[in-house]
Amino acid sequence: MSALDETLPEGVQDALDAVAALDAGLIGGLSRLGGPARAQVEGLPSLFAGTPLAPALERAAPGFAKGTPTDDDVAALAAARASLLGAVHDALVAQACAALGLEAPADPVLGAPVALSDEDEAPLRNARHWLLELASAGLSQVSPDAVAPFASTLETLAERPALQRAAVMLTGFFDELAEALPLASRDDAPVPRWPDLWMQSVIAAGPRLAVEEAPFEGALLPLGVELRHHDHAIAAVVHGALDGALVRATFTGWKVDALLGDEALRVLPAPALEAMTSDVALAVKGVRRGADLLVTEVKAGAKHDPYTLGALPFTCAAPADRHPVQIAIPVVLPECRVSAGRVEPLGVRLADERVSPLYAAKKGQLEEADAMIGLLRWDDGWALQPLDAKIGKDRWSLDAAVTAAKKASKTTDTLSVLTERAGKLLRS
Amino acid sequence: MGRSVIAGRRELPKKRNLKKVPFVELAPGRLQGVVSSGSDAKRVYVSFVDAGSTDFYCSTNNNRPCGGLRGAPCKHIQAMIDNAVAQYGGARVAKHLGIAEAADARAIRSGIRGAQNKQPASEVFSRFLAYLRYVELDGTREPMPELSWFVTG
Repeated sequence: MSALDETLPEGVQDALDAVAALDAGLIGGLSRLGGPARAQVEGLPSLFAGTPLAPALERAAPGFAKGTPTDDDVAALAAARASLLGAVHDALVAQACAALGLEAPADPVLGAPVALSDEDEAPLRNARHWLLELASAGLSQVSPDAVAPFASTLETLAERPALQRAAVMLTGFFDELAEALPLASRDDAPVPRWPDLWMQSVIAAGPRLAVEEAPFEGALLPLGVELRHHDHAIAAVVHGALDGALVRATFTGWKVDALLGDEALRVLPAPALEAMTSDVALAVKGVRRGADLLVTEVKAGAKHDPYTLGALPFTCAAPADRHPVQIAIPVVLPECRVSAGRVEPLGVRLADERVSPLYAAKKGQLEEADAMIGLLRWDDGWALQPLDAKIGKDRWSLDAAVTAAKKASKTTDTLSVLTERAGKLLRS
Repeated sequence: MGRSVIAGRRELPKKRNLKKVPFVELAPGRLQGVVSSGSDAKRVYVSFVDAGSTDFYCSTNNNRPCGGLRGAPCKHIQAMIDNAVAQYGGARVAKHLGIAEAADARAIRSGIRGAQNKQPASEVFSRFLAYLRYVELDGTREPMPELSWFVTG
């Protein structure tokens, strides 16, 4: 293992510059493109000439020229932006693998497009239309009145099992817009964050290729648990090793803001709480899709020491999910030192902004870590998101919150108060 | 790119009085919520304050106006603001309402200078029901790369 290079791989800056020009258009509004944004959008068909995206971008050109793009036109733009960032992702992963002494990751095997029912297509069509409205008006110009009515579509999306990914994405984007709009100044729009959220929402609301899957059964050696959450959803991602390769199991639950601290973990679908450990080997059963495990059964086995796991190969994300934000390579540092906010020997920043507040970390504690397991991430530079750490004789992990969540009853006080109030409202 | 794609970490929501204010939300362009009646356990009020204008209204769920509204925010609106501040922190609530430099519930309450503006309660009510439905939804074991953009909330 050698320290990560902060020099951008070749071509990455050019791709990021092209994305930035598109973002100016998304922020200011696709209905009134001007300056470098217009030049970038008009140049997309030639930039992508000879690629599978070229025909869609050529069909979209007249719509952008007139300032009246359609759903399909902005979907082509989102795909072009995503493909530029996908190339950035691939170059960065290659850079990381070289430093970590890993082989370049294999691609997952893709299947046919996921088939959806008419009932599933209807809310997705609404979503695509809403996203078109946002981009035409400009993400910095959207009025709260253009956002509020979309809430009812979100409710439909969240209730449909086939649309969970789209529902989680669009709800997170909606929540963020709902709180921030109207902006005091157009410079207040977070860039590239909002263009990213818009783009990924368009992709989530569009057709998707399935990743080939197969039933599996095996011994999972967990490395640590990552939490990701927004106002209405929380996911626990258990990273670990299965048959000598890196895998992850994700459990996502819907939540509300009144569920605080470890109460929020209780909304995760079973057997999430049994799988959320770093030092017990797990006998797991379910479905495997590339590096993703969909775990339905877990049985705790013997103690294991995640700090003994060396560098392991992993499978790359599906093409539609390749974005620098998705780089999350588990790294075990049996010995480490944090100085001036950088984790040695990796030489990268400690990404404490990515640590969920549900980890009961005392301030400054992680700076004293002697050993760490983390996810190597890239967010305008390399960083390590801690999952587990040894600090002197202490262990820093999510275990305490998981234990508390297991002990509590499934129907929490918070939930029963809310349900009782709902009953009164419905009868009044 | 030059800038992070991760939103700055903010404090987690804190405990509000759930019995008093079972629902409160930083909705697009307004702060809205459901407030229990102080006198009748069977009754709830639907309250809101619009962002910017700080116009406000309070009524029962079936649109009977709140008797406490006399051109100024009633105690239900005050309770909603107090609990929104408990839940989200004063800065987030003040920013959402566009009340400059207010940091606590008292400053936010005195920053409300808008007019009484009658609006139907049904929209807020249906948001509350949707809020309750969220905790009954099943969730999923599908991969969820979409949440990579969201690290706090």
